[in-house]
Amino acid sequence: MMYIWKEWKEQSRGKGIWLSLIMLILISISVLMQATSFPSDQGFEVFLLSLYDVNVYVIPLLTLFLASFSIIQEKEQKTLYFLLTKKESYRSFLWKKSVAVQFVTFSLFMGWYFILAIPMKFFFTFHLGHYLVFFVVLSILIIIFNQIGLFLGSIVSNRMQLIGANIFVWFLFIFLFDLITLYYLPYITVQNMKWFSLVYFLNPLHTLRFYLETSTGMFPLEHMSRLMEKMVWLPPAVFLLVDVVIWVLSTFLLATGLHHKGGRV
Amino acid sequence: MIEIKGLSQFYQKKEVLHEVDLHVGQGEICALVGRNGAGKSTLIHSVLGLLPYKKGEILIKGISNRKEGWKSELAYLPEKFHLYSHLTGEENFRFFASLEKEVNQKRMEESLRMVDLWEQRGQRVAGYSKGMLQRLGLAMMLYYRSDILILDEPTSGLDPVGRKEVLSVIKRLKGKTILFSSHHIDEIIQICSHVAFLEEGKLRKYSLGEFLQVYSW
Repeated sequence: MMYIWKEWKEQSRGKGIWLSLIMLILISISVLMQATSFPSDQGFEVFLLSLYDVNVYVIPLLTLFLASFSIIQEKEQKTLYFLLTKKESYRSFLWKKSVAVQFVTFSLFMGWYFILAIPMKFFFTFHLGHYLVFFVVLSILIIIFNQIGLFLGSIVSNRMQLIGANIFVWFLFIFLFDLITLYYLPYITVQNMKWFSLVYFLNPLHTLRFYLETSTGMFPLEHMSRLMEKMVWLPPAVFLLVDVVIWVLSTFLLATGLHHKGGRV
Repeated sequence: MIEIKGLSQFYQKKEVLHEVDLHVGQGEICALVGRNGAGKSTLIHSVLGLLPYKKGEILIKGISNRKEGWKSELAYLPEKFHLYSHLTGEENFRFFASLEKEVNQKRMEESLRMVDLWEQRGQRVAGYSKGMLQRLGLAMMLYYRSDILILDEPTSGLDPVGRKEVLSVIKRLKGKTILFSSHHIDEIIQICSHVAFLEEGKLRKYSLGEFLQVYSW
């Protein structure tokens, strides 16, 4: 509880989180303005998808930077040394820090998307179920990239390394992953489709979009080709759950492991 | 209170500490001295359990620092301790004090008054001088009431007034066992009873008088 209290005080008195929130608000409003011209029958779902597509570029970058810098600051300020020598192990520190960072970014960012539901109701035929799916999708996006940010902050030793690592991870998920999968696309057959699917849905950005599309009825699962049926061999929600477990758990465990292996504090 | 037996530490195959032995007894204030890169920080970090070691043993009040239960016996003040800059002195204090069950208001006031920061407790630490930051760190150490204190260059980067203020607080810590890393011989003369001198990975412990004689200060 004290970690959450401390993290909230620190973040709310700094500029970073407010600038990030302003960016998200401006993006949402500009997408909302454009979406008002969409046809009314599926305008709401198209708006949610468009907003997700824009946020895919912004939220990972913001959360990576906010979370990783909150860890590197603990190292630079020597507060981490103080905590580790007085009570915490790195694992217990990272657990409490993760809960605190997730709570602060989640409550502020998702607080905005909660408020955004009000203008959505005015402009579109509001569908609560689809809105909740969108809410869950953005929540998971924030949680996964916050945790990756906390991992990066744990394993690097200075700010310059951290900036490079954050940009690389963002580039990896947004572009590099797709470039690699595109390279292998000509070799995909019905026989090896399952393997391709495993790799493809390992990228949470793909899984989240697919879950959003299928859950809002924009991508019906009823009439798929044989190849596509092989691709979607698990329900989208299961793919999503696997991604959350893999990325959140593995980055947490790797952060504690690599932290110790490097002999760093 | 602090017992180091045959400790060796390596950085990428280079031996930084070679079978170091050190005993710091109860109420002793021992300076840890050595040139830059001699291994002072490595030794301190090993004692604090921040750096794992393969060879040797470190006991804090008889408890191995590889086991549980030694952290409550010890408090550490890092070099250039910056704290959480957006929080006030009191908020920083409360956060660190909360590591021990409940925050004791009376003990907090006593600790802050002892380092002359009670009046400034409501200010954000971003506006504190380096000396004030170190004194706030010292106040937290006092709050824990640990018997063993490890101070890593507590006056590093301070102006003469800041140094004097920090040293006057340390002088008042009678009865505590202190391992005190420093580059300033005048500080060591003022405060310490013993000196542990690190050179080329090897450590020798002297009484203050012996040290001053051997190295002709």
